[in-house]
Amino acid sequence: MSIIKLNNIHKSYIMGSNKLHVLKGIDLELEKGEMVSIMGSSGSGKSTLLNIIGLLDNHDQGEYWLNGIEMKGLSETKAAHLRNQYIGFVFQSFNLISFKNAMENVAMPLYYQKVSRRKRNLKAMEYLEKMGLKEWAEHLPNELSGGQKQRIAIARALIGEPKVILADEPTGALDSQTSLEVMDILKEINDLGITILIVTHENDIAHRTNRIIKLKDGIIESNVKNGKSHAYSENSMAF
Amino acid sequence: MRNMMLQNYIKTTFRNLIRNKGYTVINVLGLAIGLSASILILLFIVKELSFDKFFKDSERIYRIAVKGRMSGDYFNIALTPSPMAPALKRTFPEVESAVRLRQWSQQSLFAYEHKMFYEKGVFFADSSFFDIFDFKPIIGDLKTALYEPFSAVLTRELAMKYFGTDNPIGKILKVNDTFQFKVTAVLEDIPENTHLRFPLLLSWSSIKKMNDSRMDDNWGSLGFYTYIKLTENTNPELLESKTKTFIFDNLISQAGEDSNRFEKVQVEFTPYLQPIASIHLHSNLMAELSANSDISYVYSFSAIAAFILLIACINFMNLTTARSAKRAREVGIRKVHGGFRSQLITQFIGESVILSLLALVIAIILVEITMPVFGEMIGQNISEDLLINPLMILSYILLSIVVGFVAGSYPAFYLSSFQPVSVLRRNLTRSSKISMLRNVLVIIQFSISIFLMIGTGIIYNQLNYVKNKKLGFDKEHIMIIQLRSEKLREKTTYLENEFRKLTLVSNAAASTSIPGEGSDGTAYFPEGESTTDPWLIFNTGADYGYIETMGIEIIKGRNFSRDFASDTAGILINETLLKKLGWGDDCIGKKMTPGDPASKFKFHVIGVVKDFHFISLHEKIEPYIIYLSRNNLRSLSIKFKSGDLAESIEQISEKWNEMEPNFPFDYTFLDDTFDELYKSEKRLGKLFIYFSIIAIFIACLGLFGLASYTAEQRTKEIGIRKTFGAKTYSIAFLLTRDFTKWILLANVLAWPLAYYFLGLWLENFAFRISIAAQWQVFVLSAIISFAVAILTVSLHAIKVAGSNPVNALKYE
Ligand SMILES: Nc1ncnc2c1ncn2[C@@H]1O[C@H](COP(=O)(O)OP(=O)(O)O)[C@@H](O)[C@H]1O
Ligand SMILES: [Mg+2]
Repeated sequence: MSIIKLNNIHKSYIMGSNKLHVLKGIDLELEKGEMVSIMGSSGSGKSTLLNIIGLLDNHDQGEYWLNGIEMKGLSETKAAHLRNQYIGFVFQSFNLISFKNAMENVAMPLYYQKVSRRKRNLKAMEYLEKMGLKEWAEHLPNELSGGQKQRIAIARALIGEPKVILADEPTGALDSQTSLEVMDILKEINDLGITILIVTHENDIAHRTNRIIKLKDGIIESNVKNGKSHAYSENSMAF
Repeated sequence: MRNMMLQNYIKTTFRNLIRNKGYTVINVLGLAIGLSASILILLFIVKELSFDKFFKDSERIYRIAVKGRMSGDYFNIALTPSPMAPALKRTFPEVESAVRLRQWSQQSLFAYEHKMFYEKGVFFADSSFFDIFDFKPIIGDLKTALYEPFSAVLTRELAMKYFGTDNPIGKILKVNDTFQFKVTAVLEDIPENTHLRFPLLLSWSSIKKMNDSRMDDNWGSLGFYTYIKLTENTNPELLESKTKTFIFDNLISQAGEDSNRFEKVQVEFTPYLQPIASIHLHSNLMAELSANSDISYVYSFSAIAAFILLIACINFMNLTTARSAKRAREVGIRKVHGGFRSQLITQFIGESVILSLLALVIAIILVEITMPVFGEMIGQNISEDLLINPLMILSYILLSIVVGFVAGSYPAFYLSSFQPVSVLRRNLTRSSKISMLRNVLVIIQFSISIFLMIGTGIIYNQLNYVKNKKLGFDKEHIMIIQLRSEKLREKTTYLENEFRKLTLVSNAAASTSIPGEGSDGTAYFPEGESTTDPWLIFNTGADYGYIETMGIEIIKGRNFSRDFASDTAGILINETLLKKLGWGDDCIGKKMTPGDPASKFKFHVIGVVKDFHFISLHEKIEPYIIYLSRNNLRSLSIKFKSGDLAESIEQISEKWNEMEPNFPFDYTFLDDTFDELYKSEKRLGKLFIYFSIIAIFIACLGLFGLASYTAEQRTKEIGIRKTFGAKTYSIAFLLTRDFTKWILLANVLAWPLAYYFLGLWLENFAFRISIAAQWQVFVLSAIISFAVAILTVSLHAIKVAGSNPVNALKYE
């Protein structure tokens, strides 16, 4: 069973009297344990797609199945609950809370799972250790380098034991050396069986994933598996 | 060049204001309401302070009051003996002129042709009256106006009432259907800001001709007001020291050989001078001409005005500093492009001053609109002149410039000190120093609001307590009719009987005074006590049926009864007197000798009444005697059966007009008389309540603005939290939590202060609620403050928390 299945997803933004049709029928399926990248020029709707998958935004049309359940007419509370349960997020700009230290940032999702503070902090330390940041636990984000911040953000994404990690240009703000380190970490996580979807516009990052999906003008232009490219067509719905 | 720069700044200012419309509105509105409330209070205070200062040479005019002791009881009274004024003028060259006044205690009926009205507060005055008080004449010669017996000087309003546009000079007013007074002069209406108010004056020389008990040359009876004007450069204290024994000395010499009697009864009369301008706010003696105000009200209202202004200023500062984060970028860019620090300071302060001047304009409009309502509330007209007085206008402008300056200066100096680089790179939204200041200010604001809220509750409860306190008699449904003339008083029994026959009347009885009106004291020599040292005891004379009419309870012995002929010398005493005398159960039949210890006439006690409040709850209950009397009964009390009040009044009125066509029907209700005793407290209490509500409203306005800023600044954090599974309510809780902490602290600060100051206020009342027993008011204020704060903040929190997190994260 696929963990994520999109069927003819449409999304538009209304801006004043204009309507901006961003996603024009996206069909997409992710198997459990896959590591997939999404590429495309700026403004092609990558983030929009990721946000819909991450339940941060609603789609207008089509079907979205997460772990076999259709996501339709979700209430705020329900969406928050599902996010907390299934999905971890990593952002280009890290999105750490500036006045909370590293450990508190990592522990935050567990707060919304009603885990006690002691347990939260213990587990956060565990994940920080995995990221090699144990001794930075008490530091505020602005005392850390970009790579360290992103590793904290990854630890935060992992702590809730999600099924899927959605990363929107996770290396976009990092130098190439650090980018590779971050990709290694994501690869390790993927090896543990967690599905990963990365938005990027860097080719060498994309080539470290199992599959590359290219977006153009709101539709999927190509869907390349293991380096082999084949044109995307209606027929490919079959697999 | 400079001009261009100025233009540039003004443009920026307005662009800024328009861009932040919501906050600008809150900022300006808060300040405008604050300013208008404090301007209203200022007008009120200026008016209070202006009392009796308009008289020419008012600093040389004094009222004589007398402090003293009579058989152990101390008193402090605004009255003097009647010969005091002329004697002072005769004896002391530093007394330029002196006048005595006698107030006609009850309303009197004045008639001109068919026009008849009851007038209250009429004075008899010496002809020297206008030497001291320069009231403005319209017609007539004030020098001679009060010289002849049966002369009357009218105010314009009164002249219009009786004579319309006719020339009133020489016209005759008939008083109480008995005396005829000739109008000799008309005055401009009496200004509101004097304690000495009257509809008309009658000449002193009339009193003797009226052959009335009112005239009393005795140096021992205090019943007359004396005002003097000193010559220039006279030290009033010197005169005071010279007149210390003036009354007593005259008393002795008047009494002749009988004089040693006064030394035995320890009579002490010490006259002293009250500057006339101090009477309204500093004098609260027995027999004041009208209920004066009190300087403490001026202080508390100044405090409220300051509080409101402070709260409004704090809002202003809070909102401006809260916005500083956004403005920080502007500062950075300006600095990078060569803006000087001083220019920036000018810009920020200028902005804030422009805003506060804008608020002033709105405030003045608000004041204009609300002034009539306010005047009604305080029971005075605040005149337009005061509002547009140039000095006042200047002080408002100064005030709002200062407010604008103070409010703008902190953010101005703080913002302009930003290093441009750090501003452009870093986010300053949660600068701890500045948010700390904001928190402190919010705490102050809420402490004040909570204090005022508790004050409101306690004042309200005390006033209610006073209103509903069991007075020991039943003040409801009792109508009082004054029996103004001897002719009427002769018919007392007939009137009583006629009224009793009416279906809606349950009882009727006349008395020499009624509760709430103040009683006279008389010297009594109780059996077994000193025969030289009398007891000064308040008393009232009453007809049969008085006790029943008033619903006074008899706890020992019995009521007056026609079945006992000896009851004409019977008296009822109150519990307090019984306790003081220590007679216990043997009290019935004990003798009391009134006036002269050697007199043959003795009262005997036939019963004891439960204590009741014959004066206001400001005073404790004193010993009291009710004696049976059939003459000099001035007030007729009529008790109604419960039912249709209008119908009852109609019945009485018809009956009255049938029996007494010469006197228009006129009545009061006893419960109104009692309410009147607390009029000033009630009025000021209400005012306090209203202004507290305004203060609280402004504080909430500020909180609302601040909460929206906080929520806005935390948008990104909220987005992150939501992304990781936070639900709307937990975000709302997060945003409310900080405010809750502050409100808690504000309560902790406000409670002890409220406890202390309101405790002081309550001490004005002999009968009062206990502040400790008012804990509910404290708790309720806390609950309200929390509720208001949480509600205000949640409005935003829920909006922000409910929004899509993507938006928060996407745009930085
Ligand atoms: N909340 C929004 N409101 C209006 N337009 C939006 C919103 N979010 C994205 N867009 C527009 O949708 C298009 C796709 O945006 P996005 O998904 O962020 O592209 P990408 O991540 O591929 O650069 C862009 O043109 C963007 O301006
Ligand atoms: Mg994007």
